[in-house]
Amino acid sequence: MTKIADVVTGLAKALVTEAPIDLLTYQRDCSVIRPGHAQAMVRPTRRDEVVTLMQRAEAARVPVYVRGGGTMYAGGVNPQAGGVVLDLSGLDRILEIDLARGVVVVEPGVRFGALTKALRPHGMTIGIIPVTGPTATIGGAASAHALGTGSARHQSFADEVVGLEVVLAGGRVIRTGSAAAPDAGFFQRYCIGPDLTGLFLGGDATFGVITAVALWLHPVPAFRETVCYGFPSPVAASAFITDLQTRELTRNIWYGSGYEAPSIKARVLAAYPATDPASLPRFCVGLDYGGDEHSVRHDQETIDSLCREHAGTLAPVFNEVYFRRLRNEDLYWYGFAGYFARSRCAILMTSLPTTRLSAFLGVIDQQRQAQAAFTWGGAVVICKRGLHGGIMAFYDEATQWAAAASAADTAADALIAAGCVPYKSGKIWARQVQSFSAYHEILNQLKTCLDPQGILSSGNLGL
Amino acid sequence: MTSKVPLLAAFAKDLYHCSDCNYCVDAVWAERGIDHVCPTLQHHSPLMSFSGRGYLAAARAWFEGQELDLDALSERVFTCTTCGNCEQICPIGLRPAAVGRALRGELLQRNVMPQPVRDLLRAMREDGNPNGGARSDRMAWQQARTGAAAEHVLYLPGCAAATAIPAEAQAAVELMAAAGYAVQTLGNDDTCCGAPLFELGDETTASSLIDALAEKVRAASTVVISGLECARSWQRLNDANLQPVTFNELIMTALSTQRLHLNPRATLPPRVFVLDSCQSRTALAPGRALRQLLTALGIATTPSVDTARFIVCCGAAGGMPQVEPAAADRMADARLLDAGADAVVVGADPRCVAHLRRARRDAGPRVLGLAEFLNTHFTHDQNR
Ligand SMILES: Cc1cc2nc3c(=O)[nH]c(=O)nc-3n(C[C@H](O)[C@H](O)[C@H](O)COP(=O)(O)OP(=O)(O)OC[C@H]3O[C@@H](n4cnc5c(N)ncnc54)[C@H](O)[C@@H]3O)c2cc1C
Ligand code: SF4
Ligand code: SF4
Repeated sequence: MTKIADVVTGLAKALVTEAPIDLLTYQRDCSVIRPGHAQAMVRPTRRDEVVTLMQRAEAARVPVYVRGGGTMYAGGVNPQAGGVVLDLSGLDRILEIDLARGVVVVEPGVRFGALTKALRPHGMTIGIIPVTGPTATIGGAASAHALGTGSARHQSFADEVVGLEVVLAGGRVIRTGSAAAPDAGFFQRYCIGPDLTGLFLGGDATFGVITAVALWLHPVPAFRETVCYGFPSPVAASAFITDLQTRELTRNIWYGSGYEAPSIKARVLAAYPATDPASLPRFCVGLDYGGDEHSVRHDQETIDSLCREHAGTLAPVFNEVYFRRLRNEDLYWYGFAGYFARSRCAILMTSLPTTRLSAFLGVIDQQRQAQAAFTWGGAVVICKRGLHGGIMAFYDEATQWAAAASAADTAADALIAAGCVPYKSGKIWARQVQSFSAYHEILNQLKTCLDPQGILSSGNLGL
Repeated sequence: MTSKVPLLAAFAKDLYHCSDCNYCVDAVWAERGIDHVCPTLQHHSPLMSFSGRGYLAAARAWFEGQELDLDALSERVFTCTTCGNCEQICPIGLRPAAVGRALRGELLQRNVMPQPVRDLLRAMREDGNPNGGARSDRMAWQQARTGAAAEHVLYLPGCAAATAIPAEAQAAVELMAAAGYAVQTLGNDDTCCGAPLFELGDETTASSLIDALAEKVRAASTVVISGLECARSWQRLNDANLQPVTFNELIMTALSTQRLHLNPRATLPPRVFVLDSCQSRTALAPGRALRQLLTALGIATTPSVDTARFIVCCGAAGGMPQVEPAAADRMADARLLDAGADAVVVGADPRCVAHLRRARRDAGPRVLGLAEFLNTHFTHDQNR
């Protein structure tokens, strides 16, 4: 038997394939990163099968790449060292909805859409939902520090995780948070000792395979409304967002994002061609309020006047033609189409302090000048503190694939120089992450401790 | 340079634009009535190579000159129901189902296909329908219904009503006659519109069949059809002078204009489960119209899938019952499970009705075509 067959045969009920035609679909994610070529794909439906696979893979030193919904744009799922793709979409059970503890526990392959649907009859939802909610999995989001709806209130998906169950390379199973104590279950993240949960969040499957995730529950907001604010400059907009954040006015904001001049212009002029472009704001902030109506209205008034203090005005047209649609179910269409409607695009996500907004936008302008073969765009998502920014380079994959990958890498260096840091690192930021030497050395030591044979997700985070 | 896969070359833009987002693989999206996307992945194999995205990946690899295992590919592409949900959900408007059909076309040209597809193509060639009945029996169900009515309609039952559930075709004729139409058929000249071949990827023969049928009916003032997959053939023909109405539409108009009076026979079923067809989203009379019709007759129906865009196939389409009968049965079971064991299921599309009836094997809810249902539960004033 081949080494791969040793690892994947006889895995109880797991679906296993080594057929090249099947493996074509497990080569990559949405990113510009080059595809990898695995020799087998395993889709377990039980944790035990993950354990067995990890034991065998470690013994045979076969690489394992973990995959959830495959919606990421950082290449984390691309099996560049070959080996086995472990598709966790079959581990898709909701294990527990504990309203008294305010916690839901799920297997990693549960899709956001399935979870929110199951929670709805309880009047509950979860804290963070990415644009790709119908398809992205909870395990993938945990491993990718997801953001999105909820970030303005709760910051990051990681902040909403109560604890994890993780299968390590070699097959050892650990539980984190309060569930580390036998029979205690998931009800508190920070207890017992240091926060081991955080080791696996944002880890792109380099340290372990997440097989269960416990999340905090939140009531579904009773009232929603979107408002857009236009600003004469990114500086004014960033001062406004900074005030929102430091005065904790984001508590009733369900989703917030910011848009630079070219995308405002393109969207408004497409709907209203007679608009004078000079009349358009240089930067728009869209806020999707959600909560108890009285409290939302109260915050909205305060925020309206804060906007005026920063020379901003209401921007109802941008709200109507675009931002309002980024809500509820429409989020998934418009959010997605914004990235991919015209062509494939290389996406680079970064984290930045709100005060660096102008520098971030400056990097996009710089790319427009220096790398004119691509159309560039960008936007930011407002978190409770700070921002996540996305830079997009639209490219033709038939002719520009390699060039687009290299353009994204150049843009990544420019972002670092502008004071931004890697976010959604996967493989796309690997070189830059490696350059943070003290941090990366610790990552390497942790890797040696948790995955001594280095079988898990080789290449992610530069490990 | 001429491509070795010309049918795929026509989709090159889709192949390179697909963003591998996996929406067409699986999605749960309550607000849009989506509870999983691809019936084949759900009920046949969860391998992504059986999905729209899988077809795009295989097509791109083939287009780029990679050597593919064509037998393995054919096992995958000939198990698509052609329901089109993947195209409905693709956020950027790509056509994975059409790419799947193009792959079928390329494979047919190389004579690579699973045995059941070969059998199906033979049945189409020899019997003129996918259900196996002899060509000469196609219209055997028909009883003359000429009457004295002044307004003529030409009725094309389609393969499913004509050969799999002839009671539906017969009931349709009776109801139309009761509405005062002189119903004619093509008799032994009635033929398949080509829909099953189109779905199997043989678009050329499918076009010649609809063209031939079109010529036979061109003189008719009103053409009435029962099959919703046939409606799609007529849509593809795109001839402004030939726009058939579906039987459902005709009956609805007849009721609303008082041409037809239906009187309940005895106790009506309190509630009817309306079987939406994945073909109906583009056909002439979707499930919503059927609900309106039943509601007008005082029958409560199951709620409509609002967007009527994400209807999960019952397993009847795309050659599924012939190619993977077990998977087609699981698809049918899933739809019947939605209905509940005590329900009466009424379908607008005879092909779905025939398939569900076959799949339920005398268990589970009763499944009826619209005409059968109306004829069973109502009396009508004959030949007004
Ligand atoms: C158009 C578009 C819009 C997007 N919008 C957002 C957004 O608003 N917010 C956001 O956060 N992201 C966004 N994303 C990125 C991505 O969709 C999300 O981060 C999503 O949560 C990833 O989940 P997934 O299941 O698809 O993960 P995958 O892509 O399958 O995997 C992502 C990473 O997690 C690892 N992984 C997956 N499952 C596990 C597991 N069980 N254990 C350990 N590691 C695992 C993988 O190895 C990989 O490194 C967007 C992507 C696209 C294409
Ligand atoms: S047409 Fe339907 S069955 Fe075929 S790949 Fe698309 S969703 Fe699946
Ligand atoms: S065909 Fe559309 S929905 Fe499917 S993976 Fe490609 S882009 Fe996504």
